[in-house]
Amino acid sequence: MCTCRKNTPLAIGYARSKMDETGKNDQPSILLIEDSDDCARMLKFLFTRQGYTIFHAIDGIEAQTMIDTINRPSVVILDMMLPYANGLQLLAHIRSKPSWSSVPVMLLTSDGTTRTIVKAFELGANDYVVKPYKPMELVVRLKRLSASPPSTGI
Amino acid sequence: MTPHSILSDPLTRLAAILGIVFISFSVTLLGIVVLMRLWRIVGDRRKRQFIDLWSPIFFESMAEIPKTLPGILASDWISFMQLYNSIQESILGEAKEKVNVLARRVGFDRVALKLMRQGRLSHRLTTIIALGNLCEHSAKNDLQELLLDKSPYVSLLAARALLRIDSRLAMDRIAVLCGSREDWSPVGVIEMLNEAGADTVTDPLSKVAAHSPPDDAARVLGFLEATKCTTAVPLARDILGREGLDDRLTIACVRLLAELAGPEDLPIIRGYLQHHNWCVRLHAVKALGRLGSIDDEENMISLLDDENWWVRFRSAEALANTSFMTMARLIDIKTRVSTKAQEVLSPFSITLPSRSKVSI
Repeated sequence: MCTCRKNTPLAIGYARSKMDETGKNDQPSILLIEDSDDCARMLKFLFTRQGYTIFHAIDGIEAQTMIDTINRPSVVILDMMLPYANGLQLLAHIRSKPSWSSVPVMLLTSDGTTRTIVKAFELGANDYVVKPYKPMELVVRLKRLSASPPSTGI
Repeated sequence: MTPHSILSDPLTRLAAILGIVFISFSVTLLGIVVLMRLWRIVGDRRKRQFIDLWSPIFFESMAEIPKTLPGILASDWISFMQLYNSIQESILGEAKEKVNVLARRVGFDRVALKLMRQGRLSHRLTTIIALGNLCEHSAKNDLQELLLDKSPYVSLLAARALLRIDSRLAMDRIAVLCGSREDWSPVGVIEMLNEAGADTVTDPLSKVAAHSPPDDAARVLGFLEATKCTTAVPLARDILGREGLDDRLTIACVRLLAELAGPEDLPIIRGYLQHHNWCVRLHAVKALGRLGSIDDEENMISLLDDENWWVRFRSAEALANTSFMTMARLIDIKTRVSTKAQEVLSPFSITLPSRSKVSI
C-alpha cells in the first residue's frame, strides 16, 4: 500500500512506476480523497485487502495536485466535504482532463440530499454512496466500477 | 562591603527573599508545564499505538472475529471506546453487529456500565453513545434516569442511546421530552428522530402534540414536519379545527401542511391566506407554491402587496415555483402589479428557480 499523505515527488514517482507504457496501471489502484483519518483508515484496510494500491489525498489542494501529476487510477473515491475544494469541484476537474474523463468516480459522503446526488451524477459521477455504509456492499460496488478486480471475497 | 553586611539591611534582605521566591516559583511553573507537555505527548503516543493495534482488529471483525485478542489496560478503555464509536458511526448492517460481538468479547459492556457513572463529562458522554451503539439492554434503567439530567447534552444523548436500544418502549417517554425540553438542540432531536424512523416516532409525537400545552405542541409539530411524518397531516387538520387556537399552534400546523399536505388540503390552506399573523400567511402562501393550481394565481398576486416583506417575498417565490409558471407569464404579471410587488418579483423574473430534471 502506498499512502501519499504528502504529495512528495517520491510518492508521485511511485505512482508513475506502477503504470505501463500505455498509461494503464499494472496493479489496480485507487485515488482516495478523504479528509477524515478514521474513515480513510477503514477504507485503506478494506481495499488493500482486495489488492488495490491506495493513493490518499487529504484535502482539495493535494487532490488537485495528484490529479494533475499522477497517471489515472482504476477508481477515484471522493468525499464531498473537503478543505479548500469540495467533491463536486474536484469531480468537475477530473472530468475536464481528457486522460481522466473515463475514470470511474465514486462519491462517498454523508451528504445524502437529493440535490447533491443529482448534481454529482450530472457532473459525471459513476456511483454515489452515503455514509454510514455497509463495508461489504462498498467493496462490491468498487469492484464493479473497477475494470479489473484483482480478487474476490472480503 | 561583604555579602553579610549587604543582607543586614532589612530592605535588601526582603528583596533577596522575594527574588528567590519568584525564581523558585517560575522554575516550578516551568517544570509543571514541561511535565504536562510530556504527559500529553506520552498519552498521544500511547493512544496512537492503541489505535494502530486495534483498528485492524475491528476492521477484521466485520468479516470474522480474530481468535486471539490483545488485553486492554484500564487506562486504554477510553481510547477503545472512542475508536469503537467512530467505527460504529461509519458502518451499517451486519458489520455493526459483528463489531458489537467483538466489543462484548473483550468485556466492554461491563466496563461501559461502570464508566457511565464516573469520570469526566466528556468521557461519560462518550460512554452513553457507546452504550447506545452496543444496544446494551442492561443500561436501560440508568439511561432512563439520565433522561431527566439537567444537562441537555447528557439527557439528549441518553434519549438517543435509549432509542437505539429499544425504540418502541423509549419513544413514549422521549416524545414528551421532545416537547418540554426547550434546551434540547432541535438539530440533535431531528437527527435522533430521523434515525429512529417515521414509523416509530409519528404516533407518540402525535399524541403529545394533541394533548400538550401550545408551546410544547408547537415544538413537537415542528419535529413531525422536519422528520417528514406525513401521517401527522390529519392531526394538523384536527388542531386547526379547534376554537380559539393559539397563534403558535396555528403557525406550526399551517407550516406542517405547507410541507407535507396534498392538494386535498388546499381549501384549508387558502383559508389562512388572510390570517392576522404574518407567519401564518407566509406558510400558507408557501404551500400554494407547492400545491396550488392556476386558480390560486390571483391569491398569490394579492399577497405580493402584503405589509410584511417576508410574505411578499415568499409570495413571489411561490408564484415562480408553481408548475404552471413560465418566464413570459411572470413578466406579464410584473407589468400589472404595484411597484412594491415588482420589487420582490424582480429576482425571479430574471431566472426561474431551477427545477430538477429528474422527477423524484
